[in-house]
Parts: sequence; structure tokens; C-alpha cells
Amino acid sequence: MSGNRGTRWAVERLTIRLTRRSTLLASLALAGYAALEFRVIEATYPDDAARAALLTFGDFPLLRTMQGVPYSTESGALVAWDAGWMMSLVVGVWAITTTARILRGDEDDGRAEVTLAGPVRASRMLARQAAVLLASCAGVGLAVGLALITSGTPPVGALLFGATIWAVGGAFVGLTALTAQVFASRSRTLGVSTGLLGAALVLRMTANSTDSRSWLAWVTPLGWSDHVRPFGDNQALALLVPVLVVGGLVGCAIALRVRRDSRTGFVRERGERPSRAWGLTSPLAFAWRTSVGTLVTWAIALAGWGLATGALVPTMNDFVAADPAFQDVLAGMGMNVSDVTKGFVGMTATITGVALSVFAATRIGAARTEESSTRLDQIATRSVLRRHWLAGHIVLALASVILLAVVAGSSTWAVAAAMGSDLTLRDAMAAVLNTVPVAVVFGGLAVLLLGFAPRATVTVAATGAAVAYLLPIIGPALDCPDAVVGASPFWHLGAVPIDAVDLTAAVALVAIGAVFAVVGMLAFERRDLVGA
Amino acid sequence: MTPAIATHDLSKHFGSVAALEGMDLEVRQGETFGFLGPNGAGKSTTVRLLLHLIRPTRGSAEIMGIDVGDVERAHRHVGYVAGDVALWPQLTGTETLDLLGNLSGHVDTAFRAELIDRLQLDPSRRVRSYSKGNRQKIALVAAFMTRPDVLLLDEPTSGLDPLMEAVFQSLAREAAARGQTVFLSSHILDEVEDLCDRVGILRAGKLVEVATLDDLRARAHHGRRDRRRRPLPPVRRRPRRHRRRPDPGRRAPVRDRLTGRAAHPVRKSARAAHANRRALARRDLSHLLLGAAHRKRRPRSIAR
Repeated sequence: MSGNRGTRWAVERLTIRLTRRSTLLASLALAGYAALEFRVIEATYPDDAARAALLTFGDFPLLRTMQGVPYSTESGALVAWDAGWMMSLVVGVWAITTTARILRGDEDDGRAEVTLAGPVRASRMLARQAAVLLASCAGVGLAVGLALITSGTPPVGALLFGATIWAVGGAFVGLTALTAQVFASRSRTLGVSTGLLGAALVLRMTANSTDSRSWLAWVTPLGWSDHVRPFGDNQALALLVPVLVVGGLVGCAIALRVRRDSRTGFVRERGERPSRAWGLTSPLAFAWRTSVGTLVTWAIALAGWGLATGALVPTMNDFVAADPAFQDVLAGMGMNVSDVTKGFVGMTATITGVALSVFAATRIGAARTEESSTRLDQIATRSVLRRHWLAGHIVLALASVILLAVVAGSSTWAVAAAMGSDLTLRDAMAAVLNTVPVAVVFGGLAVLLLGFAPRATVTVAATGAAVAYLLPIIGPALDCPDAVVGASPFWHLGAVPIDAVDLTAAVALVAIGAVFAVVGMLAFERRDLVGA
Repeated sequence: MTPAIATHDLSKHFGSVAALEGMDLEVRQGETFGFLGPNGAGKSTTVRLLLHLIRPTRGSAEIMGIDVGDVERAHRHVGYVAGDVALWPQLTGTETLDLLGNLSGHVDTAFRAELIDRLQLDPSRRVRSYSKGNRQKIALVAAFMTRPDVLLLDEPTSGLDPLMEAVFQSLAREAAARGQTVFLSSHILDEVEDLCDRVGILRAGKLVEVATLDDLRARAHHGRRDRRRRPLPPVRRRPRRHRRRPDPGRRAPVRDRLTGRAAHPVRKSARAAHANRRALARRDLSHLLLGAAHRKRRPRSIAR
């Protein structure tokens, strides 16, 4: 059989088939974002004078920590500096979810055994799947590079920037391939790999915080682009590090695969444990039991985000006081500069709002997963109304969103206050709670999708939240009509805590979300349950 | 008396595919009803319609006189076992049964313990570590432990070993003896033959036959004669190979395979003939049940 043309590329073709849609989506999204960002940079900073001010952002702690040190006034370099970190995170998350699905999810669900029963060694199969995944990352990187070349950047820099995108994706393909050997379930693999992505981000932020720590950027995949410096001095040789690291990680994963049985990991989960009776009494209680772990993870992440941004609040004031010229640049980034502290807190709270919206969408997505896995059948065939079951998930998602907002707001305030800022708890809370109605809209949208287009529940709602965040920021720069920008719920939020909370807008947004949710819930009750 | 299950013109279309077309069926209370048909005939679609997991394109259905759309009331009377049971991998067996019991309401805890014991289930293990058969056992315990009026069983023994299948059969018999209605959807003829009073035969989404098994057997035999236009071959008094075996002077006794004792050749051949005729009758029956559908096969989506 090994000589049969049909089977020779069977694993590769299967893997391509299973990943091509998400690869295409990731390529389109990132290429589109790069092209858009290029136009925004060209429109906002048309001349060298405006760009020269950007270069001094290397001294600006917040931006320096988040985005790295700007190294060139070339448009492409500014794209890499301004959007590169976000694109790296997106490609990292995409690589982790895709790799966990292919390398552990299929094994966890027993599908991999169908392939392994064929004439292919498990280690060889892993190698071939990893090769396809790495090629997919290269495809995403190439798409980004081509998008920038067609926008008019120098080709060498564009391709090197694409290569850094590949490097991030490839590193997380390798890391996830490794965690997939260690942990026996897809959820554990996903959780640990995402934690590693978070650690990589923290490492890069540390590396960028001062020049003396910049060597740390070699250690984190997210920092490699700081050494390659695409569109700057184009250090192509620095790409040797990612190539070696990716090869080493995949090699380790293959070596581990040889040493383990299928459907097991190196960390064994106990088969037996004492039963715990809590959270089994009603659909709502059970939804709480199954979601509390995720909630804790998000709470830790948002507390970390709150602490990181809160720590920057005091230095922010000193910095702007030292050089008022930055106020103009900050205003150009959509920040209200009449009060630097509050403006900054408001700006970071909006980003928290995006996270809350994505969280709400994924919680409704968890309800959808119960349905698609047919586990819901076990509940829906007992005397439980489907809408009551779904209402439990919705109530829980809403309560969790509010809780997460409080966690983010209070941690921001606590650190800022401890470091001597005059930020009040009231203002910090108002800023994040102000974004809760937006999360209600996107949670409601997810329920609506669950009712009418269940397979699109998370993807469309979460993507919608990201687009809605970008729209008010880049829309004006690209001369979008107000009607388009106004479609974003974020556009309707007041600049809290500088302005008071706009109650009319808040009530309107909540009402829209509630209508979405009710219509979606009724549609869900009236439709067939459908599988994956 | 209200029928346990009643359907009127029950139909379900998936796009252009008619998974179920105009089914009228009544299952009496206390009856054990076999629901037979080849893969993809629409058996699971019917069960899922009865549970209101999917909604009918046309027609209606009632369980114990309650419209199946009124799931809060209808499901109080129902226990359901699917052929492929998906459960929460992180829960233990006990936790799963606690959850499902709480959602149903009334659980007979003593009976639950008995069921766990008889099905030899270890409920302290995590569901993740369960085999398919063990997940099936959880679903069986969960369905039987509330002592529902109607048991909707959709290929409930897939994944069970023969011993556990026997346990399931006695559980189903006991349930019927207590007056519970058993609706057993299956493509395994033996299982249905052993348990059911009446059977319905589903073929390509249409209910083509509802009859008692005895009726069907008689008709199958009849149909065979009609087709071949000749009687069954006569029962041979002696197996042919015994007669042809060269006689070495002292005839070696034919030994009974099970007991090892010498068997009387005539008795043995009679037994072989009886088995032969039973097998023929069964083949005729299975032909009647499943065969026709295989002959005019057409592409169908298997509805879940």
C-alpha cells in the first residue's frame, strides 16, 4: 500500500482538509488588517515630521512595553511596530487552537485511531501533520507579506515581516505539539499552551520595558521581530533562531510521541476520584459547575491585565508632564487627553470591553458545544425546557462578565493607588463597567446566532467584537461615513471616567442585546438540535 | 386507555430528503414494541421526533396523551437511551447519574443501586475513562432508574457484551411486566424477536408494516413458497456424510459436540434439520424486514 499514490499523501491531505478553512480565514484577516493598518499609518502620519514624534515613543513606557521600540519612520516599520504585536497574538492563538485540535483533539475524540490503523507510524503522522501546520503558518505569513507589498512597502521588509509572523505561529505550533504529548485532553493542552502564550507576552513586555533587558526578546517568540527589525535594518539572519527553535520543538514532540501510547499523555489523569455533589441539582447549577474553571482563568488573566495597566498610570502623568507634545499624538490615538490619568484608564477599559465581549461570546459558544457534542440530548430529554437551560447559560455569562469587569477595574485601581496615583476606585470601576453594555450586545448576538446559525455562534460574535473595537479607531482616519462607524457599539460609549456614563446609550445597548438574546432563545427552542 | 405512543402523519424532511414520511403508529401501554429497519431507515429520526429534539415537518405525536412539544410534561413519562451516548468526560459515573436524576425528578434510589450492580458498572470512575459499553450502561441506568412509563430505546445494546445484553433483556422484560411500555428501535432481529410482542418495520422513511412477530413469521414462510414455487427441501433422516463415510467394519459412534456422548445418528440429524429450518425461517424473516430495502437502495442522509 505504501507505494499507492492515493495513500502517500493521505495524512497531509487530510490535515490540509481539516485546517484549510481556518488558515484561509486567518490569512485574510491578518492580511486585511496589515493593509488597513498601512493605510491608517499613511493617512495619520503623512510626513516625516509627524513620524519623528512617533520615534520618541521609544521613551514612552506604556507603548514601549506593549509595542516595542519604534526603529524606523518607514510606513512598513510603523505597521510592524503598531500592529505587529496584535497580529502576533492573533497568529499565536490561531496556531494553538488549530494545533491542539489536530494533534490532540482528534486523538481525544478517537478519530486519530482511524488514521493510525492505516499504514502510518504515529511519529511519522505527527511529523507530517506538524509539517502541514507549519506550512499553513507560512501561508499566513506570506499573505501578510504580499498584502504589504501590494500596499507599496519594500518587498524585502514585507517578506521579513511575514517571516516573523510565521515564526510566532510556528513556535506555538511546536509548543502546542509538545504540550499535546504531555497532556491527554484537548482542553488541558489548550489551557497550558495559552498560558505559555501569556508568559511569552509578559517576557516580551519585560524585554521592552528597558534597553538593558532587550536580550530577553530572544527567549520569547513574540520578541523575535524586535531583533529581525523588518523594514529597519532587516536582520534576516536573526530568523535562524526561530527556525532552530521550531525544529527543536517539533523534534521533541516526535521523540515524545514515540514513547507514549495513543490516547494517553505523560501527565496521567486519575481515572477514579471521590464524587463531588455540588452543581448537579439544576441546569443553572450545572452550567455554573462546568464554567467556573474557565471563569477563574479569565479572572486571573484580566486581573493581570488590570495590574499591568494600573502600574503604568502614575508614570503616564509624569511622562506627559515632561513633554506636552505627546498629548497631540495620544489624542491622535483616540485618547482623551484633558485628564491623562482618566483618559488612559478609559482607553485601557475599552480594551477590557473587547475581552469581556469575546468572553461573553465564548460562554454562549460553550452552550453550543453542549449541543453539538449531543450532551445536551441527555438534558433536553428530561423535563427541562430548552429555553430554561439556555437562560441559565445566559444569566451565568452576564454575571461572569460583571464579575470580570469588577476584577479588572479593582486591580487597576489597587495598583495605581499603591503606586501613588490619584485614580479613585469609583473612576476605575466606572470605566470598565461602562463597557459591560457592549459585552451584553455581543453576548446577545451570540445567542441570536445560536438560534439561527448555530455553527457561526462564536466565530461571528467574537470577530464582530474585534471589528467593532477597530472601527472607531481606524474609521475616521479612512474617512468612513458615520453610519458605518456608528454600527460599532464602542462608538456610542462616552469617554468614561472623564465624562459621566451615558445612561441613554447604555440602556439602548443593553436593550439591543436583550432583544437579540430573547429572539435567539425563542429560535433555539423552535429549531432542531443539530450536531457539529 | 390512552396509547403510550401515538403519531399522526408524522413526517420529517431534511432539505429534499424525506427521513420520515406520514407515519401513523399507536403503541399500547405495557406493550413491548420493536421498531425495525435497516441503517438510515429513519428509526433514530422517529425517536428524536418523539423526544422533540427535532421538530416534525408535518404531523404530530403524543406520549401518554401529551403532545411531545410539551416537553416538561411529556418527558416526565420518558426514559431515553441513545445508541451513541455522549456524556461529560470530567464527571464521574456517580456525578452523571446524580445530575441526570436531579433533572428528571423522581429517582428510585434502591433500584438505581440494583441497576448499577446488575450491569456491573463502576460509577466511581471518570466518564473519560469509560469504554463505549460503560457509557451505554450509564445511559441505561439513567433511563431505567426513574421507572418511566415509556422507555424509548434507540439501539440500546450497541457496545454491550452478550452477558450485559442478557441483563438488558431481563431488565426490559421486568419493565414490561410492571406495565412500562418499551419502544425498542433496533436492527438486530434476535433482540427484537426475544423481547417484542409487535413490531413495526420502517423502510426508507416509511412505516411499511405493523404486525405481531407470529404473523410475520407465517407470512415470511408463505412469501418464500410463493417466490420459489416449491416446498422446503424434505428433512433428511440421516446426514449425507454419515452415509457416504466408508465403513471400516466398526462404525465409529457420532459424538454429540457438547456432551461428548455418543449421539444417535437419527436424533442428531433431526436436530440438525430443526436448526436448519429455524435458520431458514429466520433468514426469511430478516429478508422480509431488511432485505427489500437493500435491494432498492438510494442515497440517504442518516439523520441524527
